[in-house]
Amino acid sequence: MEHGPAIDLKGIGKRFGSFVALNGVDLAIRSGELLALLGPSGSGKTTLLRIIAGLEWPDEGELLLNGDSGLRRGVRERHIGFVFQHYALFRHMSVMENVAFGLRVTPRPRRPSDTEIRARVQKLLDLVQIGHLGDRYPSQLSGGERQRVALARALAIEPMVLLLDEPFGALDAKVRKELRRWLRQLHDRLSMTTVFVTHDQEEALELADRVVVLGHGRIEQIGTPEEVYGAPRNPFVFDFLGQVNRVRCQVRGGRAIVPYAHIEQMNGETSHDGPGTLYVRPHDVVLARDPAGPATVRFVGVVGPVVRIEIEVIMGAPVLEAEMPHHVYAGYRFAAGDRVSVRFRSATLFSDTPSEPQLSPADLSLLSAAL
Amino acid sequence: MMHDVAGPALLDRAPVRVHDPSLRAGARVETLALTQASPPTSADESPPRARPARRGVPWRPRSIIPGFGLTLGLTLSWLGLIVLLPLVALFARAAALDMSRFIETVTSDRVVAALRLSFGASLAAGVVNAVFGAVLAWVLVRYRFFGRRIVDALVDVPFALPTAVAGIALTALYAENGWLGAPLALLGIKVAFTPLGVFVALVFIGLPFVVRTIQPVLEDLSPEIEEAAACLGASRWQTIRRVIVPTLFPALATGFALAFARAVGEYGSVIFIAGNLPMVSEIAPLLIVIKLEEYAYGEATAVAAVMLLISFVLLLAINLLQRWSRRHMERR
Amino acid sequence: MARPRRSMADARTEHRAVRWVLIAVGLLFVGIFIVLPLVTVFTEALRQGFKAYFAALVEPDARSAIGLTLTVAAIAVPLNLVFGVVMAWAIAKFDFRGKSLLVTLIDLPFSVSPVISGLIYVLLFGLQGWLGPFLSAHDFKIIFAVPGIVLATIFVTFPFVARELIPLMQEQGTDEEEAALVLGASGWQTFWRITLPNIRWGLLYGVLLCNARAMGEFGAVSVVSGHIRGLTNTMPLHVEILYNEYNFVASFAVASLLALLALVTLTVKSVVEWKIGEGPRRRH
Repeated sequence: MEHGPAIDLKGIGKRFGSFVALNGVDLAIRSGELLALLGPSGSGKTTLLRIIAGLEWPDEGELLLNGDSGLRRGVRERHIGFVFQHYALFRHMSVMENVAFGLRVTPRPRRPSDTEIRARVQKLLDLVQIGHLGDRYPSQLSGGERQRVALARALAIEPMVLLLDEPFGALDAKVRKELRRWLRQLHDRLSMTTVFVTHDQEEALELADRVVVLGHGRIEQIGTPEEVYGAPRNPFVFDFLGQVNRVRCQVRGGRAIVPYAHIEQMNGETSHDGPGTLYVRPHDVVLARDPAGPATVRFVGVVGPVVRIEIEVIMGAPVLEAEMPHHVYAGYRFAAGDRVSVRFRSATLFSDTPSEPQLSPADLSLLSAAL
Repeated sequence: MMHDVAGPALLDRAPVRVHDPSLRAGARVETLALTQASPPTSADESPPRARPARRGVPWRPRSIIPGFGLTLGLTLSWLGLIVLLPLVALFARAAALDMSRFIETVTSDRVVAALRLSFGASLAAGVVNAVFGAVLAWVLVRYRFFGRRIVDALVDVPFALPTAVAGIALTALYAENGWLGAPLALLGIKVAFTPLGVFVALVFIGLPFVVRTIQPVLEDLSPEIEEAAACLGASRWQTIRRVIVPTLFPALATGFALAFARAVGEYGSVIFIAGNLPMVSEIAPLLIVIKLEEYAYGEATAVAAVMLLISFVLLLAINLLQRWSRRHMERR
Repeated sequence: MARPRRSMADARTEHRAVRWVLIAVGLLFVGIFIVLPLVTVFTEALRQGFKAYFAALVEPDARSAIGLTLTVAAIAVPLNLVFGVVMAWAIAKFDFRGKSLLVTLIDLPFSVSPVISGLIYVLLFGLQGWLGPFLSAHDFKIIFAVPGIVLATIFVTFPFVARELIPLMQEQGTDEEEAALVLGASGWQTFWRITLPNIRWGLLYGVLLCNARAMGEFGAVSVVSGHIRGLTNTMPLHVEILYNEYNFVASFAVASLLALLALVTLTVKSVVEWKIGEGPRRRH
């Protein structure tokens, strides 16, 4: 079905007691896309997923599944595949029986024969590459294998939508990476609408066609991975995805001024003059050796392929972090104590959000006096 | 059913989508016209939509797991029929008692003596069980010795053994010609048919409660706590006294309370060994039975009501003690 | 090189001598208070040899006592099994106001003295009880008859199955049931295929305890039964009657049957616990 959104959420609200989990959430999920719900804990992402599945019920709002009202249906009738965070495998059943379960409880008229069930299950197990584990029990499997059983089980009922709750959270890094790649391939192969919840931004950015960033029960931004990382709409998104330097500045005539750094490209506008905060990614902070420079290198850390350099503009003030690829660093070889000049390749201005100012106005005036 | 049956089966679909980079739109680092920081709540790419008026959902189930109404209804009915109805009868009867007769009954010498024996012996037995039960639990959890599993299973015997069987066995054991009674008689101690016999019987039936309440707590005790204490220089005894015992105290109190509650109401194990002499070795439950046999329902109810009341007060006190000790521990 | 005398493991153990003393104390305690009484039952029963033992068991009053005990258990245990599962489901799978009050009420029969458990039924159904006149008008006896014994037994064994299942089901959570529902199973299917297999060992244990108590209950049944030999005597009551007649051997013989039942219960319980691999400890 390519017409209209596969899942349409309008004005969804949900409270648990006095805690507001979701507030005014509108989201249209396209048929066939791989969507990530990304956010910190408490942002409401799992609640939203469970509402789509029918495991939670919203207090207000509308849910449309392929155009039909989803809220008139209970969880059994929604025909949605759900993979639980801790897999929820039936511990007393073998892998084969786990995967076959959804088929075995289909109402009799539609239930396939036993032979057909077994054939389908085996095909699914082969699809998720655990075809040889059909007779094992969940307690005998590794985390990654259990994950795949959970996935096969959800796929067995041929759902129109697949929902995954923190699918790789409980696995160690290497397994996680493999499974991520494998999930992407599976999605390409099946072209099923898939929504997954994660707090791991790398996962969301790597896997998803679109990312929904959630914070405190609201959608902060929706976009492709490049959009949410490269053009964050507000400080929350900027802060949540990737590293950020928050730099105090003075705004004059709509332009931001930082006494110790030259800004090449500025995004964002504000009509108010006065103090403001610039958001700068570490990899947009460019350093050059300068004996008369305003900043001093405090710490150099070589982290694999990148080098992170902490610089200090005034003693005791929060440090700025610059990041550069190793081959760029090799040309400079900065060391602690070096004086450097600072350029911001790109900086974004958000008005009136001085969350943790790195330099106070007093510091700034002190600095301009010193310079 | 929304499932599109007409389409090809899941696994037979030809792979249509290749990882298509164009779908993840190219970098659009444009100058965004930013207004205030209030978050957008609609998808930025779809055409703006008039937001529908917020309204409640059409219908919502009480809970996702089915069967709430049915099971709760059955539970309340069964509970009401078997437990609540008879208890109401008790309280109605107690309330209907003539107050002066009630006090007269309850303060009569015989009743007071019986209550004193029941509660006194239960308290003493509870204390003994607390001490030895704790030792036993420790030994079972911490040490390995031949027959440990069997001993562990035996702890449950007083719980599983019918009270009458226990009663006659204890009597035979502690009678003057019994295996334990004879040596004790030589020391001049008479157990059977005395209040001491009551005490012994109550120790028997209260034994499993303390042990079984402490065992899980001991098992869950994190070894790091003791190791930390040792690193800091505490001796073994100090570690036990200052670290382990306070942790165990709530469980100990609970076990004591359970053993005590059970002992107060105990009948079968006690009446054989007790002697049942009014004013001397007669327990309160026996008094209730005697009054019932005399068809003195009112007096029986009065004694029962007092027993329940005293037990309730004592258990409440123990409960408060537990809560205090737990809060005290957490504050540290 | 000499081995170090204390290692890190010693941070958690006592001196050897202390250990052995504690073990001895524990064993002595168990020996005196548990082993000896158990052994006494059997030695007293066999005091006059096997012939007298078996004669006591096949005696008509003894046989009817055994029959009544089995009948009462056959009624009380299945009822409490079914309702115990129902109650555990209501409590463990849902959240609602008044839940802890409900749990306290379910636990109530456990903390009430057996004599009082019998008393309340006498107050309800006895000759001078609430429904006494109604019952005698219809010539239906509850107290001093079998129905009273059954009711009192149901009361005292009321919480056993639920008490075992509630913590078990709470610990298992609702994840698997939710998964089954999402896959399309109905409520019944979910219960039969998912929940029941998961709780089967706890259920077995609860039923065992329920049965042991049902067959061995003395105080409550004593109050409601009337002690009519051959009619309203259960095995524990029969033990008492024989004992009071100074017929010790017969008394202990019947008692030994009950003691064997207790031992079988404990053995099965140990096997069950061993099978589920040191699962959650039993609280009483």
